[in-house]
Amino acid sequence: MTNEKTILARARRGEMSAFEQLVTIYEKRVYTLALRSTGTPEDAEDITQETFLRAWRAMSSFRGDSGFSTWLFRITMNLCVDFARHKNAGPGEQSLTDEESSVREIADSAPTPEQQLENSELGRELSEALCAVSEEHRQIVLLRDVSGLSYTEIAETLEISEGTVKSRLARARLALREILLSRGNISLPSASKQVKGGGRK
Amino acid sequence: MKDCAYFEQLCSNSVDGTLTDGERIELEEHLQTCASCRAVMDDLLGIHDLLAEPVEMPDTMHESIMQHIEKETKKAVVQPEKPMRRMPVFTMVAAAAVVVMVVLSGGIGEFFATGNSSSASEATAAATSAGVDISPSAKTSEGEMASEAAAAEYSTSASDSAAAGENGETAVFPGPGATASDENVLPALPESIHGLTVASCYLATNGMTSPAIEGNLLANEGGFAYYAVENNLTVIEKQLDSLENAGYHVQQYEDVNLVIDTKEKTTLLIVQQPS
Repeated sequence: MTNEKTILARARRGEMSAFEQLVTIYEKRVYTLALRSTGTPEDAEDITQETFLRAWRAMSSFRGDSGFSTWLFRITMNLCVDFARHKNAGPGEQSLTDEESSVREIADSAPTPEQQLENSELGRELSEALCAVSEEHRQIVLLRDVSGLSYTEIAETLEISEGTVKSRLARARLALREILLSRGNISLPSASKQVKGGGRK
Repeated sequence: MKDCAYFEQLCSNSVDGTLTDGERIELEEHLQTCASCRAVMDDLLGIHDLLAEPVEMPDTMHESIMQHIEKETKKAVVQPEKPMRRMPVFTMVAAAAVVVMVVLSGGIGEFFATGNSSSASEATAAATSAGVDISPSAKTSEGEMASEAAAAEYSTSASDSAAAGENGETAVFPGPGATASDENVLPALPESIHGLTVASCYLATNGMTSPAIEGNLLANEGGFAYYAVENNLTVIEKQLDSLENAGYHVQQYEDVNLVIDTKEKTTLLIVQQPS
C-alpha cells in the first residue's frame, strides 16, 4: 500500500500525526490479538497501549524489510508472552478470578468486549482452551484466526518457514480441539451438527 | 494410502482457503468416507469462525494510546539531566563578527595611519588568535564556562565595534534583521507546545528545500515545523549547517510561550516550510 508507505515514512521521522494514522489503522487488530491472548479486556488495553508506545519509540529504527503489521504484531505477541509469564510467576491464583473481577470492573463503563465470545458456551471454553495449549500453538492460532495474517506474514512474524507455519497451525488447531473435546464440550460442531462435505467454502 | 494425519493437515489448510484444486478434490473424496476427518473439518471451521468474530474495542482505547505516547514525548523533552552548556549561535556569529571587524579596522588602520602600524598588527594578531581560540571551543560538545564567558565578552565588544564600525556590519555578516524584509512571517507557536521548557530555540527561515531534521517532530502548523532536537552541540550544529546549506537563514529565537532553561536536554528547532 503506497499510502501506508508514505505514512510510515513520515512516522519514522517522528511525525506524530502520521503515527496516529497508523494507530487508527491497527489498534483494533492489536487489541483483538491481545484480548484473545490474555482473555481479559483490561490486560488487552494495557498491552495495546504498550505495543504502540514501543512501536513509537522504535519507529526510527523500523527498517521496513518486514511489513509494519508483522512488526507490530510481533511486538504485541512478545508483550503477551511476557505478560503471561509475569502473571504466572506472580503470587497465587490464576486467570478465572482475575478475569471475572476485571470484567466486572469495567462492566459499568464500557461494553464487555469479550461479550461475543463469552456469549456462547463454546466461546468461553475456547478462551480457556487457548490458555491450556502451548505458547507456540496459541500464538500461531491467534495470528492466523484472530489477526488474519497470511502464512507468509506469520512466517515473518514468528521467524519460521512457511512450511512450519502450515504444519504448526494444523497441530495447534488439533490440540485446541482435543482440549475442547476432552473437557466434554458438547457445542463443538462435530458433536451437535450433521457433517456436511468439507473442503473450501 | 494416505493416512488421516495427512487429511487433517488438509483440513487445516482448507480453513485458510489455501488448498490446491487437487488437494481439495482429494480432501472432499476422503471426507465422504471418513467420519472422523469430517468431524475435524467441522470443528476446525467452528473454532476459526469463533476466533475470527470481531470484538468491541473500548471507545477510549485510541485516546489512551495517544495520551501515553504524548506523555512520553513530553517527558523526553522536559528531562532535566546532565546540564549541557553551549554557546548560542548568535554569540558565535557575534564572536566571528568581532574578529572580522577587528581585522577590518586593523587593516584600515594600517592603511591610513602609517605611524601606528605596530598597534594595528597587534590588533590583527589578537583577532587571529581570537579566531583560533573560538572555533575549537565552539566545536567542543561541552563548552566550558570559560568559553561562554569569553563568548559573552566578545559579543559585547562585537556590538560595540558594530556600533562603531561604519558600514562594515551588514557587509560582512548578515545578522538577524539583515533580511528582515523577507522574514516578516514569524511562527505562531502551536498551543500543543506552549510552556515547553527547552535549552534554546532556533528559527530557520526562507529555505528552498527543507532538509531532514534529526529530531522529534512536535508539530507542523502554520507553515512551520517544530522539532525537539537533542541539545548537543554536534547534533545541533549539524542540523543548523544542513539548514544553512539549504539556503535557510538561521537565528536564535525567543518566544514568550517558551521557557528557556539551559540545563534542558532539548533544543527547539523551528523550520519554516518551503512554500
